[in-house]
Amino acid sequence: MDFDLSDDQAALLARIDGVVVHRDVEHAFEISKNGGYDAELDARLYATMDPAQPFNLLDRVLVADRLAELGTATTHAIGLALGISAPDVMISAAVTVVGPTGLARFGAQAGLAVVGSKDELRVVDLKTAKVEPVRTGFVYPYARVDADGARTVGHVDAEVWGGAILLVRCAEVAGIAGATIARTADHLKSRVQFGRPLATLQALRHRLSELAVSAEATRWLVREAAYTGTPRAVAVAAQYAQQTAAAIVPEVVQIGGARSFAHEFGQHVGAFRLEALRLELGRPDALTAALNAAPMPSGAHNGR
Amino acid sequence: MEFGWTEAELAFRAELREFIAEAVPPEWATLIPGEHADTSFTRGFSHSLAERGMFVSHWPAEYGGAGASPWQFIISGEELWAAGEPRGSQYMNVNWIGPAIFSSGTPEQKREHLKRIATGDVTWCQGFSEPGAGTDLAALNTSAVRDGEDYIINGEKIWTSYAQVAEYCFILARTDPDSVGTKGISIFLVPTSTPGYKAEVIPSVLDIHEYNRLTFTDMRVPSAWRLGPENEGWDVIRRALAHERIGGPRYARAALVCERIAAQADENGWWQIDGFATRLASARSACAAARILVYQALGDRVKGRPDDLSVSLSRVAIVRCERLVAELALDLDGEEALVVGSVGHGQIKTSMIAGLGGGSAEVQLNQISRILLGSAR
Repeated sequence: MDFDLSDDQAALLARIDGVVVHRDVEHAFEISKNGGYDAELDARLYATMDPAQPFNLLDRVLVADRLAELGTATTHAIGLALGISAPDVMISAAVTVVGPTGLARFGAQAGLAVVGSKDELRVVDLKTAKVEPVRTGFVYPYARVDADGARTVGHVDAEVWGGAILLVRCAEVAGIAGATIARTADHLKSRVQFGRPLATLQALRHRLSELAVSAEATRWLVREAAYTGTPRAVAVAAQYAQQTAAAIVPEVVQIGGARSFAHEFGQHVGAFRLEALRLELGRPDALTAALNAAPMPSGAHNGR
Repeated sequence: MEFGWTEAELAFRAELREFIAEAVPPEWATLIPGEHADTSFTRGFSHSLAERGMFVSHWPAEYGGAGASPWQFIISGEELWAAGEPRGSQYMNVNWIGPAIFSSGTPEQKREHLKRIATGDVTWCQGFSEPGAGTDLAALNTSAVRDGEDYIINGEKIWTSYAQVAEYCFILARTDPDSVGTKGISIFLVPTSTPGYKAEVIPSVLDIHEYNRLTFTDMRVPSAWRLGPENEGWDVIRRALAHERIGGPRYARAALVCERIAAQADENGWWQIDGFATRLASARSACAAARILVYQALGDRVKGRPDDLSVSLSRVAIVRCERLVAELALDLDGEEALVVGSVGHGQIKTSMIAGLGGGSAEVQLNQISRILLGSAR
């Protein structure tokens, strides 16, 4: 049991940080605030960390967490999730995943998409699919994708890929949750009301602390699930991450006050992205059912 | 970063589990941990664990341990807590009283106390809270005034567990009368037979051991009983409290109760009850969240880093899972939860303790917010 990054993991994250910092973190966040897509940064990320390389799932969720925390508008995390089970698909372009109703994050910007059901998951060339951007206020660009008749460029293993994409989304929840709590903390420290900083009010301090418990637990449950790969651990991480997102959003909006509604402060980014990810994770009853049905690993104890 | 156990840790858990199955009567599985705090059984069980080298295996060899992986601390905690804590009050000695003594004690204190603690042969109690210093422990007023080579201790402690049977008390007292807060506090390791020491029962409604009120009246103690430097006891206490807050892996028992509820659901058709599946899943993941945060806190400790934040996060998560499981168990048991021995009855009482034992959950929230937001002043 070791909660520290290995040298290799630290080096990997340093490479990712380097790419984003070189691109300019503030600039990347500005694009996110507008619900845009940072094509240049995404291309640099794919060039720096090719998803087809044999990174393990823990590496991939660490990167997804970090990119989400940095507030980027890129598809790279999803590309990473795909990379583990599709060695035959060379990911040279941005990749996305199409949800059950045809909605896909970055659907209008990505080059490849994963479509299908549990029985068959295809990787399709989006240039050959019908793609219609939709209006959304959730700070990611979404599009409706009709992949019937689109050219298939590969297949992915549904079981392996399903767990990977779930955990990458959970890692994004963890990263955004951490960043959102930090941003809200900055607001509480700087905002003066009733003659003193809001950060001195215990009611608000305790609420933020409760959120920090959920965010930190989400982060570690996701990492543990990525390491062990057991269905139970994956199901626990997904169910908990979804609850964390649901808990954080109303609280940070409330604590942020009317600034949460204004574009200029950027406080909306975390709230809306968490809501989006919560929805991308699937229906709560489905996650609940998956957790309750997941067997305890042999010899396991205490819910692990 | 890796989340697996070593072969030695897995073997330790398996051996301990096997011993528990063999040595602990089945009815213990339904007890509230602490319900039988100090009996001939808990003493005998602790002795047996010690004889098998499993009682303090994570302690350094020079103090009676085996110098084994520090993770054995939480492995044994999980297994034993889930089994109703058959060590009784001895868990406290293993978790933090012994470590406080081998970290800060004199050679004489180590000789006098550690062997008996390491063999499960002595009962301790802790003299921490006072009528005017509970959540705000550093407001304590018990005084220890120098008188030559001795101290004279006067004051009152409250909510003390095990005091009726303890041979020693781990007492906090203010040795600098001009000090306030965490400064000027010292620790004393005092035999409960010392003249001036008095323990009175405070009847409890929790079905576990009774609490006690301790009164110290002109209690003379030699300076050799002071643990660590004069006026600098708070650092020792801070470390001890960190152990205490996560030392009882309550999530382990709560997770076990979840699995019992799931089994009962299969028998009773509870899966059809509106909201049941969601609540059970939430309770299960809350237990897992508490567990992983405790592991993270231990990871900090193992690496010798400050664990204030990670311990506080863990403690809040522990309280949450205990409460979620209690509410679920209570609702499902219905009226049967009124009966001692039911799952709901036991779980609601242990969850009530969770938010207060080892320091209130609000103190943990304060601690987290201090790190996130700085001081509240």
